[in-house]
Amino acid sequence: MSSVSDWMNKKLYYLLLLPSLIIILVIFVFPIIYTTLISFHEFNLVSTEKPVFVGLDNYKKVILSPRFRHAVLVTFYNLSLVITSTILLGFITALIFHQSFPARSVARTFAVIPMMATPAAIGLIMMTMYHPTLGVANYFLSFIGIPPQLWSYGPKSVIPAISLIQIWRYTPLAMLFMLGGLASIPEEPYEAATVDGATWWQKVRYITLPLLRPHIFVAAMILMIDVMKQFEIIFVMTKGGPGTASETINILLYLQAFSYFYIGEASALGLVFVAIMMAMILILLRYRRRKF
Amino acid sequence: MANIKLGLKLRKQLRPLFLLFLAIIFLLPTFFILYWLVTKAVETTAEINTYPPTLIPQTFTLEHIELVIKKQNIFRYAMNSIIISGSTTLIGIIAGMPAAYGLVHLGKQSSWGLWILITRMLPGLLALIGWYNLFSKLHLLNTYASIVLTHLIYAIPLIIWIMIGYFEEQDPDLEAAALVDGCTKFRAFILVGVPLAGPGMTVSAILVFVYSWNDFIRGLIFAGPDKRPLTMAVYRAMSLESLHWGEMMAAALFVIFPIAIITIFLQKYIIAGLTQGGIKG
Repeated sequence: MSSVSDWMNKKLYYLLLLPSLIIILVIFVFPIIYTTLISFHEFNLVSTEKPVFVGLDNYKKVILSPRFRHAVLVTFYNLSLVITSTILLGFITALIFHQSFPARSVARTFAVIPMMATPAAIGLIMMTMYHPTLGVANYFLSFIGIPPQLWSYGPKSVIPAISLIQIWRYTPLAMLFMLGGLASIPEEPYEAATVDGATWWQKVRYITLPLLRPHIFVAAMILMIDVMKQFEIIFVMTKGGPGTASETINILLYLQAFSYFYIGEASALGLVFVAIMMAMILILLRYRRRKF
Repeated sequence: MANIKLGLKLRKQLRPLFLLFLAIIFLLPTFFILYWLVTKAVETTAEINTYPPTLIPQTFTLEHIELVIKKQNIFRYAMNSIIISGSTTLIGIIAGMPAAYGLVHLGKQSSWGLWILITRMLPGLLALIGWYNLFSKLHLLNTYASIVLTHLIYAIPLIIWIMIGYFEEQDPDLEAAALVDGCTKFRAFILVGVPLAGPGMTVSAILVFVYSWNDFIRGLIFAGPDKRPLTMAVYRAMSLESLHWGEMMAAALFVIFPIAIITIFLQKYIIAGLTQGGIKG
């Protein structure tokens, strides 16, 4: 009796780990392996034919398909718009919120709301605002003399329109990352700079920015992953449309799997997607190593 | 000379106000969106559909909210959301917190960090495709258990990630003292580790609950008519009647309102959790 409880005590840390490990293994690792296996088969969920092993055929199909290439372009277009603006805005707002001003904590509370507000609901609200004839967005534009736009209803403007929402949503996250970074910068360099007669802008450029680089980096990486995986906002607003104008890789993945039920091809697409993300992360990490 | 001194003093006093002004400008979109959501949910359909849109509500009606409660049965959706999010949070904490504790005490938390990054990177859809196939074969498609299962895919790594940060900060001497006094490791865990992890558990519980509440894709794929969460209510209100925006706004109100409350009152924890989870990356 006591030797069992002794053993349990000795190995306690492993035992504490066990339930989570099992859950993750079952819930996560297992289906990924399963999906990987499916990717090598021709598998249509609604047909009565049994899945057929086709080796790398699905991967060939995916990579050669023009729709996939288009999705990659759409994804990168979206990514470039969002990441640059979000980091920039996040930096500016972090500089603001780093200082003390009245009602700062209240302001910060509201600043966090975009991150937490249900994306699906926000997407639908924005659908109403973006409506070309009844929407309030065009109404505001008319105040400053810009003609009405199609926003998320037009193929050329849909990605910028969606990117705008994502920028609104993710800037608080970038801001929080950089606020943390700003908090860790010591006072001395600034004081020395003041003594030397540096302007505010010079201080930011030569002290703040370099010291903040690692944080900007982490923010960019996390943002990149989250934006690439973005599904809800785009799906509820356009389902990838008009046509395929807003069809990112993730949206295409969903459609392949759950609209067309081509699970084999979808699985292959999914893994290609992961490969792309990993490649981007590696590139980013290598870039970081060179800068330091 | 006196003028320059006055000028500097004035600038110093005005500066915080200027910053507040900038902050408000930054917050305007957020305020406006929330304002729009609330006002359009209680305006008549006629007013909602007019152009130019009215920035100040001219009418007031509860018909959209009534419609959404009675016809769409939104409380059923709300119940589903509560069950799913609550279960996910509960199971996640019960499994995840001890796991984080074990990892930190075994010194293996950095390798876990890499693992977390990998799981975060993988699109949820990959695992969901596999699960959909399995569930449909096993006829488990429309059950709370299977839906919660799909939520745990992100919930558990997230909780462990956050809790590792908190456990790392704990003073090891407290536990060492307990162990020296003859406590078993288990008692040390229960009596010292767990209570000190309180704030960490609160933070991770809030983040997981919100994330789970907001989830759309799992509701879309795995939930049948009776188990759909609130996010689906909003989506369906849109699909069914394309220009009945009032109903959609009313449904959206139900989804967002609890989140807004949580964010406003528990923001301290949320911000702690988000920065914790990010900076240690």
